[in-house]
Amino acid sequence: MIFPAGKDIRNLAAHPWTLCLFALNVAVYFLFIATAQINERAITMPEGKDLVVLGHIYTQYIREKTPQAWPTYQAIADRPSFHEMMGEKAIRNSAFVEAFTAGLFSPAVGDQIRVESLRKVLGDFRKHLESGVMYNFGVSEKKTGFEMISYQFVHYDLWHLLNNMVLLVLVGMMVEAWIGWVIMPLYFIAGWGGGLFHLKESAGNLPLVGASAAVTGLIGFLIVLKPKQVVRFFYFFSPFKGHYGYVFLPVWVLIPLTFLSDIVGWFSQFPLARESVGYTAHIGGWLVGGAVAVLTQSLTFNKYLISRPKKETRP
Amino acid sequence: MVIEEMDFPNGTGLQGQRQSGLAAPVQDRLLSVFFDAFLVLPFCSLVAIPSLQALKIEESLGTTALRLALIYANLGFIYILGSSLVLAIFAHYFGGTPGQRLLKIRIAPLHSPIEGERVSVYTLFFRSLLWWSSFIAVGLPFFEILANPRRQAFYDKICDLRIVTEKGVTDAAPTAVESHFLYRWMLMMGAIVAICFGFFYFKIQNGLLSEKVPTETVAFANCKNQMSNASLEKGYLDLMITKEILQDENKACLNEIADHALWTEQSLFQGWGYLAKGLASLDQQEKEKYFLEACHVGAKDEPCLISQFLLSGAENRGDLLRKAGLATGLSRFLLARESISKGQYESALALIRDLRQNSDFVAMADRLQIRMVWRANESPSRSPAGQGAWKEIYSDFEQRFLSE
Repeated sequence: MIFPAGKDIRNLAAHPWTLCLFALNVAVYFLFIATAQINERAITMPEGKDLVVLGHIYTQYIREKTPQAWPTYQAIADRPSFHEMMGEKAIRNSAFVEAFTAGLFSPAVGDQIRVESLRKVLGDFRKHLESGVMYNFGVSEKKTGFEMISYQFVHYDLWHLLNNMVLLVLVGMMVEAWIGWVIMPLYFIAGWGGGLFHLKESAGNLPLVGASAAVTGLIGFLIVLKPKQVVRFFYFFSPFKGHYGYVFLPVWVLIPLTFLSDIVGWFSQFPLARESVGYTAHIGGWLVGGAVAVLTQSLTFNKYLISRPKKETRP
Repeated sequence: MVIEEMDFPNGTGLQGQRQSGLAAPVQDRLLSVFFDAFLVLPFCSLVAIPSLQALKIEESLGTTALRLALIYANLGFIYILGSSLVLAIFAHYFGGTPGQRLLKIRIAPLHSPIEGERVSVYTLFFRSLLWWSSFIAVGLPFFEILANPRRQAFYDKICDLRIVTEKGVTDAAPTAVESHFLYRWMLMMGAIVAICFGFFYFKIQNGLLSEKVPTETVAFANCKNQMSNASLEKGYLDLMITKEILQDENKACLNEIADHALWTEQSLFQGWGYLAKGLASLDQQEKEKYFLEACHVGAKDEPCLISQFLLSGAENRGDLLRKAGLATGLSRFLLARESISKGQYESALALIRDLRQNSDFVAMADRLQIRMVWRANESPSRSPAGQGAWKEIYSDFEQRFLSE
């Protein structure tokens, strides 16, 4: 494992804007998420036989509503877990969930008794989902307003929060040292961009939450702004002495570590596959962060924000 | 233990050698591998995207161990060849792999000065492949650098290369601690290999590697295997339901077969599917719903009339089955059973004989006949054997079960 650790984490107090973002994330988690009832937080999806039957229904939905998409599925329709997988996909498709629970879509073939009971199961799931904290703060097909900002401060569990906060603090301190208060709008814009890209590419019924898109935006900003800048990284190879510690490397080494890994993750996922990582949100955040860096470099006021070497100063 | 080499009998390192430059510290060598993995493997992953996607599909859709093994082999091939090629080209132009250059160490020919000629791509590629091969021996040859005074592993020796540092600082010849590390590494790897072997042995013993298919598919396949091919061709639900009524078949199996009929063969067996679902259901309310649904498909069809028969408690409910035309073994079986319960043994015998014509129903017909004779014997209105209608019942039974 290796990650940038340009600043000593004990100096967090000297980076007020990063501290502010960190505090906001932690506060939102402990005030709204951790205090919510477990059944409000957890998204319990239909499973087992229900999922298989739902897959059968969704297969007919796809064939009827989007026949042009059917050949993609047809190629794997004879595989043993196909319908289970289609069931998972069905839950994520808000148009289907809405049409099916409202009785606007009924499968032409199949066990109609089971279909009716599933209508109720999926309706309950939808109600449960839509009344939950995650859904109302996260970005999904129908939540694209205030949620584009709020999702950046919401985390699914403590482990999710911890992962993102470690990166936010480590990267945020480095970025803040260069651009000061601008880290705040950068965080929001990168997060918004990540949400937007996620909406365009892979949004569904289930909400996207977490600060990772915004943090990836900060990394993208860092890489585009100062790719050759040598910063301190922490590495851990094994617990033997000398196999962990700090090493000074250029910022560009973050490209394969972050951007390329997300690109591979995004392209290697099958349209139907279940994914818990928002690759598209990361890539969106990264692109927006990089674009902001390019813009910042070309704007007149950048000299007030970023200290550049003398040889690069314009006459 | 310090391994002594012929070139360096006293473990004196590079003393007296022609080449200049200090051997790269062991820590930098290890770290450079670590950085190379992080920096180069994502690029190889770009090439491996189709295989990675196939892997995800296989894992999600249920697959066989052989298919998975092929994909892993393909991925291994891409990563080993891809990374070897990328590292070789990079090292050819920049003097070392990305990780090595970041740590200011480089690959140099054994008998040339540091700033001498470039090492050929072919040699570097070959070295990389040999490096990968060290994993066959659980990474041991790589750790040869810990015990080797010239910090050369076997792949460096074969390619006549050495790894030198540009920092001007090196570590001393192998220390006792480093040599002990080699011993500990071997112990650790031995333990890991033993654990992995035990794990896979357990998995193979439990058949977990053979097939990854969902339980419902296995259940369906098992249920189908229990039936003859002939019955499958005719519409196996008829037989399955009869077996279920006789409690020869478990409800889960019938449920699987019914689901299969409803979702995939609906045009032919929809009514039968609902009838089977009703019989498989443990909930009385749900059972009735399924029986009623069987009639939505076709009010005059046999499954509907059988459903009505099963729901009805009327004295003349057998007429429903006669109305159905007694086209299937199930109808004949149910009517024969009904006739036996009413003491109409002659008509029951005719139905049993009829049922026996169907090879799949022979066992069930026999059971019905035994039941019939038993009941007839228990009946207070029984006539002496050999008189009137009873003669036929007993002679048929005798012929079937008592004759040598």
